Amino acid sequence: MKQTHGRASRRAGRIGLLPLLWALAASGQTPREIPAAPLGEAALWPPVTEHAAAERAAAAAGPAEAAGGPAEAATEPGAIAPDPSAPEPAATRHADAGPRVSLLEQAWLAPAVDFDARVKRTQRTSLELGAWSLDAAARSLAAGDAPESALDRAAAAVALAPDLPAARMRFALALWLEGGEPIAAIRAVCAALSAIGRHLEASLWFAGSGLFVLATALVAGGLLAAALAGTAALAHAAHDLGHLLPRAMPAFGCWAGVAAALAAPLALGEGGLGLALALLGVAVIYGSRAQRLAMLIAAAGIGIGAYPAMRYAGAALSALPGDPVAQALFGVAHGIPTPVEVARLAHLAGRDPLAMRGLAIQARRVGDVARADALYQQLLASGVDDVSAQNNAADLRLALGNTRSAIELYAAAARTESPVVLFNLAQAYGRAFRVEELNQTVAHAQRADGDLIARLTALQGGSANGFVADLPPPPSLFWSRAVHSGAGADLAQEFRDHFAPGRLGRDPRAFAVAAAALWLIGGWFGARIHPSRACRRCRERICVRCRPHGTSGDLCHGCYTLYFAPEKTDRVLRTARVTELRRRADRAAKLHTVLSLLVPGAAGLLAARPIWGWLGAFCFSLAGAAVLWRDGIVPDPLVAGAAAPAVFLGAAVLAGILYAIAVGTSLAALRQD
Amino acid sequence: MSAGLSGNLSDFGIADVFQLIGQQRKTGALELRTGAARAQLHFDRGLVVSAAIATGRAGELDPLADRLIRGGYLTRERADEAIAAARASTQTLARTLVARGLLDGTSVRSAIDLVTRDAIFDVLRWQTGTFDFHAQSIDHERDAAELLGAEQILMDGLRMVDEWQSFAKLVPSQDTVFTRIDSSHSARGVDAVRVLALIDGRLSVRRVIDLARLSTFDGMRILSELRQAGAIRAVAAEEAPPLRRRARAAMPELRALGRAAAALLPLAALAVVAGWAAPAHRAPPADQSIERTALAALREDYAMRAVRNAMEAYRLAHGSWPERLEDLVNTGLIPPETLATLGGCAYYSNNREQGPIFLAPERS
Repeated sequence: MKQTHGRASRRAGRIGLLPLLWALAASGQTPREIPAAPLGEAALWPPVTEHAAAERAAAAAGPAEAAGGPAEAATEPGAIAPDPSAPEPAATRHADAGPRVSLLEQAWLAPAVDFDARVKRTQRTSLELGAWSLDAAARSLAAGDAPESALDRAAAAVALAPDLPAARMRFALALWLEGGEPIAAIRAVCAALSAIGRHLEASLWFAGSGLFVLATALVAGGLLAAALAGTAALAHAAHDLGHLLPRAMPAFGCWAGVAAALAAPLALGEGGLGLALALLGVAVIYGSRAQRLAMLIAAAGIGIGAYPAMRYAGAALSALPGDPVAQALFGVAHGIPTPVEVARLAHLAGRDPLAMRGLAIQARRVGDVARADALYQQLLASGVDDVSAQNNAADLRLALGNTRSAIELYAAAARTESPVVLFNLAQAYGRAFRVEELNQTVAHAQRADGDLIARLTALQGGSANGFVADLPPPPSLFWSRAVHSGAGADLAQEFRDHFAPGRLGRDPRAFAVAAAALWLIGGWFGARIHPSRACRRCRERICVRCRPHGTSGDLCHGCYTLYFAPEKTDRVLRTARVTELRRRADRAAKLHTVLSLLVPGAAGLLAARPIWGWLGAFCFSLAGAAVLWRDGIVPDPLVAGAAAPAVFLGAAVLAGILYAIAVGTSLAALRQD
Repeated sequence: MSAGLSGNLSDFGIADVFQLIGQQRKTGALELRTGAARAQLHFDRGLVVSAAIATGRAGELDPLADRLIRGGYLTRERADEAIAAARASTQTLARTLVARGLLDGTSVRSAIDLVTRDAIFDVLRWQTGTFDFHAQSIDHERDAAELLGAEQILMDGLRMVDEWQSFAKLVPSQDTVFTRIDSSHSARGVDAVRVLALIDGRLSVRRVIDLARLSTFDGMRILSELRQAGAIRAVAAEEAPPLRRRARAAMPELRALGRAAAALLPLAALAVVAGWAAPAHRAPPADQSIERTALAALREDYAMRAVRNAMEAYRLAHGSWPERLEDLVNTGLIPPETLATLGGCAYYSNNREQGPIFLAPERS
């Protein structure tokens, strides 16, 4: 911490000088007037070949570069030399200089002295234009046939798209295989996993797939636990039902009655969920307090899995494919949009703030600063006040020479203490010769994130035109749209139709009311009817209706007499009985062990630890679902890469360990009993 | 428990074993085996407490319970309940019967005596087998005055075996059915009166003896005396009137069948309700397209996003959009299965002047 702070303090001095020099140098420049393009013009996006892009970039770089001369040396020792082939900052670009080609493409495709220079140039341009993760470039590095080694290309991909988990996983693989650095590879894997949350498409994909797996496990675990607990109590239910029927009713008649009651939900079209709820009711009536709690957890798990979890899984997965505007904005913000996407944004910009924002970003990307500024101002006037919009609008104002307005916008955006905004604000203070505020803001930015400020400063280098970074659209925009749009409801309904084709699967309130009613009535009923139960020793049925005065807690009268009043028993018969019970217990222990290992959730139930039983069923389902869908529910849109199996198989392993613990604990308890 | 005496009946006869136990006033259990049959006799200081034989047949009842059922003391259901309760409570069946109020102590004791006498009588006729005596304490509630000494029983038993030979001609088997010849004949003794009253030309010898609550030997003796006196005669098989036994035997099954039908009624009612309430499954009309499932649609959408992202990367890698989607696979940007996820359908892609057009195949 101290070391970082020391480095940051040293950098602060340098940063303080640079903007001052830059401000002095740039003070006389006036941005050229850029004719605003009509809305939607950006959609007409001519194809750019490698040769054309290189020619244009070379022309923009000047005659020396065009002639293949050497690049200029860095202006300050220690600072990263600005690449002479780098495109001019947006503020100085002439809008009519050529076709509206994305500056990102120009920066990437233009020739450079070497691979590193090309990467740094692209990185600088992408940050300047708010593309903090240039996924397309990172992917092209992975698939391209560049002469650089796989490790160099993977490292460059991470530099260009630090938030892309697939790029980081590829880097980890290269570190392991090519670099021979397993520790660094593991760190890279950890970095890849932590990057998931920062990358919008990856986070949506992982959240959707993860919630789908979780929902499946919750539903499957709950159904399994309810089915096991209910089935185990069916014999007692049939016996007790027999007391309500004529005495002459044979046992299979009682069983048929119970079967009819259980089949009622099936007959009414409620499917497996209805049957499971009926079994859950039986389990609540005949269960202990712990079993009732386990059934409550199981019902809650089924409800959460079938409704909100699956709904949000669908919403996350449908957030981009189900929302053309969001898809287009994402395409613009994170890479190279297709003409269709740009046209879509242009068409909807008047009605949808998200489309307007996308169009503003696109205008900025193609160098149409004035139009981008107009769009951002329109966006701010419409009430949008997020940090990204304010910061990007301020960047444009600064590029257009309106420093005061830029400072006001930066100051408004700096309320969230964003280090990038503070860095940009410092640049604006430098431009306005407000040295004291400049130094204070730089120090503030250093405190917020010293490493990031150092990285931005390094990218700024000795550029005469200064450097401010745009911010990407906040992910919360996409999330809130996905959640509020109702997207994914069809996926959730389709999932529920598999096991709940009736009303319980269509209406969450119906399910909640049914489950709560069954649980409450079952509990009340169980406390009133004195349900029959099995003797803990000999498994004989204990029924107060059959023997009103012959029960002693968990033991039947015989076992109670045998173990607690042996003087009342025949000695020879007692010995024989104890021997028989011991043999039976040995047989039962073997059977229970086999069942515990073969039937998920049975271990806890047999060990009279039903909550462990539910946990076992849930963990088994989770592990199974995670292994089954280890590559995600839907194809990877080239964002997850090897991170997907790492996450899902990792989750499967954790769930498997938890399952083993649940089974092991239950078996130990079973033996102890 | 300690091992006392064991051996083979062909070498050391049952009479010798009884004599030895009686003379030595031994307390313990004598177990005899011949074939599948197993007899257990309990002695208390040389006095016989109880004896019973298990034939080893499948589904065999406890000898006392069997005797009580045959004697009309108990129904089969009650006997089963009592046996289950005795097993669960580790009590003897006799105690359980009395404790549950199913029988009084006198009846149980007389039944035990009958079982004991029959068992001893049978055992005395065993010529082969093994014996095994274990000295152990025997728990019983009978007064020593009521018990017979082993030697006494042996003497009586040997006499009975001798007499038994003479019954064989008069009462050929226990399945024989007798009828009265002279209804005015008066039998002597209470037991003989009871036996004579039971003879009606339908009941077999075994059934008469059981219902008269006599030991097998005593019953056979009375019957042979009655026959010898000309009071009864054996009935030929064709003479015996039908007992409608089969019909009677079939009644419980018929009743159970009726109950089963009644129990299945709710299920049938549910099936009717289900058939009425469930929406009829209709095949889609020929002109109606089959909708994709939501998950399948999402999978295709994501496969398309993968293709779209790969096209973007291709453009940055090569400076131009791909001519064909297969180029994305050839350059390693997407795996072949991504295109396969799209259902194997041909996707439309075209490089137009404004940029690439990428459309999913028309779905039907």
